[in-house]
Amino acid sequence: MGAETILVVDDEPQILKALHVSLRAAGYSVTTASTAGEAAETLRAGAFDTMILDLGLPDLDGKELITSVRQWSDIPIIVLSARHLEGEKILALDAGANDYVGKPFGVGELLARLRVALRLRHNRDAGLRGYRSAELTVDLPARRVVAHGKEVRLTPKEFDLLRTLLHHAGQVVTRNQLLRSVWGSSETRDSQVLRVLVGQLRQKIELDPRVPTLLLTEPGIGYRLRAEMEGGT
Amino acid sequence: MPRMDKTAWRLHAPPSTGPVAVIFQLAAWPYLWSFASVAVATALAWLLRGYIVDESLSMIFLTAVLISCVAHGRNAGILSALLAFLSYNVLVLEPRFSFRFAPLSDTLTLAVFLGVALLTGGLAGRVRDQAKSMAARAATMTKLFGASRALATAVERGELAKILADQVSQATGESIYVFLRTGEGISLASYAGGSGTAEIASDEIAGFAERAWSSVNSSGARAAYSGSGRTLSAYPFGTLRRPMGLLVRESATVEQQQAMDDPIIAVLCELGAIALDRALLIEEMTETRVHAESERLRTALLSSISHDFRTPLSGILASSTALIEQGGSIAPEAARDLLIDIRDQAERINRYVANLLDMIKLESGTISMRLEPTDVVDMISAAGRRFGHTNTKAMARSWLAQALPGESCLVEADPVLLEQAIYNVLDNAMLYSPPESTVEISVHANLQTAEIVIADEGPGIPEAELERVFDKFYRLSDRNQPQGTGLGLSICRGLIEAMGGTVRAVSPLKDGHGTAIHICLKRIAG
Repeated sequence: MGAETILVVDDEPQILKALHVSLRAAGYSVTTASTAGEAAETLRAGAFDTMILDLGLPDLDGKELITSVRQWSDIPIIVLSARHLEGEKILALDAGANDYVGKPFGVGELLARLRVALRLRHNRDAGLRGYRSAELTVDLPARRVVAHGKEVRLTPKEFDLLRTLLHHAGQVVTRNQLLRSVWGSSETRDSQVLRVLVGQLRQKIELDPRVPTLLLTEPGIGYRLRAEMEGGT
Repeated sequence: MPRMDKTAWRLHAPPSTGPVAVIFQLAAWPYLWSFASVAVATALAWLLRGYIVDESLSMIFLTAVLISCVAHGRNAGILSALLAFLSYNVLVLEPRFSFRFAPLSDTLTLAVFLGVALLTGGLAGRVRDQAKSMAARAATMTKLFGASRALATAVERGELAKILADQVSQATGESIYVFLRTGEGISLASYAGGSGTAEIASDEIAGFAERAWSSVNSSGARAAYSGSGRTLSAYPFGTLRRPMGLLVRESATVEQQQAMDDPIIAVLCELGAIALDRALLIEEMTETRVHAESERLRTALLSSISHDFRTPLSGILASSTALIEQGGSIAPEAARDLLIDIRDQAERINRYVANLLDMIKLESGTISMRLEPTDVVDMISAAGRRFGHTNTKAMARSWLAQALPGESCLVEADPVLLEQAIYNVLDNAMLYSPPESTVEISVHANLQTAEIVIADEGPGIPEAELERVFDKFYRLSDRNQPQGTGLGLSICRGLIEAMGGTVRAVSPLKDGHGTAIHICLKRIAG
């Protein structure tokens, strides 16, 4: 198996350079592009394992690029977006991006997100059967959950929520995505159902539900299940 | 309202209202009354004819004359006197039904009747006049008090002009236009109608006002203009310092009658001028204050940018150039330290830029809030997570006194901004806490409010500065303490207040140390 290929799209040459160096050093094969047009062309021409996309490109709105790419590819996309533009991040995530990293960023955080994205892709291709970490063990086919050493009984909706988060373990999942996945539709009159369900799930799987360490809130965006090493089959 | 306007009497205050008073306002009534009173006296005299000597019966007629005088004045009294004499002579005295003039006694009778009429009538009339004029004065005084109070409470020019116009219009019952000075000329500021004519000053009135304004020489002197059945008068007003405006009165009566109200209008204009002067001074004072505050902010901003950018930049430049120039001679450990410094300084600039942007957005009101039911505890966890393991200080969390345990503590807030506000306070607390100390975060909730309290074990804040810590760019006066950007708490307060909450500082907490920041938000049902 060759090195995984990453496409980095950013209009800032210094960022491209730094990422190129860093990703190479981490063992990835890197291609860069500085406009959306270039990115689209490059994607079509070659096969990539992940795309890192800056949302502030000059020629095309990042969300539009994601939408058009999603029509023919399910390549994992990590977006780079400035702080406090939650609206922009949500749109990108709902359009099909898998995760986001705030700018300015530390390379460590980006590499971690990258690893998660690649792992999830691999898991999905291989079929995810469960999750194992020090605090949480889940057997998906058997619908068995053990949290902090104790088996917990989840309601169907709680299990659906946990399963959705597991399929994205380590990545952020927007509220819309969770609503669609658990309730079938993101149109809901009661905007509080998700919050309440998350609270209930935390009660069961967290050591201290008020200071969650597994099921984390991303304010204004959604929730993230903290990633552990093994995604395990 | 009709006035009792008889030839020799000029009363200014209209009589009181009511059906009885209406009857009394009929102009011919006093003379009818003379007839009536004499008729009644005659009837009485006729009845008592047998019991009282004739000459004494004249007293009854005298009484009628007296009543006429007191009730209706001298003229009615004279008419009564003549009628009484005739009636007495013809109908009462022998021979009855014939008029016989006995020189001495009749002359005496007539003289007495007339004398009583003249004297009493005059006196009574004067007394009544005085009473009426005092009542009028009292009413005027009350009105002036009211006007003065109304003018004292208003502070805005437009409002003051309206009050002035209303008051003068009420006092005179006519249409009043108040023009206020704008630049070199004047413009209509307010109108109060006596008869409901158009609100916009007609060209005629505006022209008259402008002519009067340009020829104004002293307050109180008035110009006048008559034409097309009405009179316009202009009353300029102002203080010693500057002329302020012009009041135009449009009335249907003749100029001399207008003059009666001059003193009242003059007083009202004086009061108006004083109030306007005060309003102008308040405006100027506010402007000066706002200007001074902007100056202070600008200076503080420049000084902050200069310091808080340059300092980390100097560090970055120094570390990076050292590595570039002398890379070979620097030990790997030391080199790594320099690189860590570069990262830390860059993160510091990043935080500073974020704070500046937040502050600018708050100042210019461009913060976009998306309010939704937000779990306070959840946001505290999210903010706390941002600190990771880079701090040696422990973060103790306790949830105290929840009114309904098991229920989440929800407030109407923008989750991102609430988390940011909490983060700012935590950042501050971490900065000022001594190493190995604890920063305690607690939530106190009752049915109406949720209060987040973040307490540190740092040096505390002197009482005089408890409010000032929330000023922009404020830093503790003690230079030995670590220096933050001075924006964190100010932004926190700005964000929380924009969500309808409050933020305050309490210090010291124990043994003269420690600070607690209290964030209070209104709780909503889950």
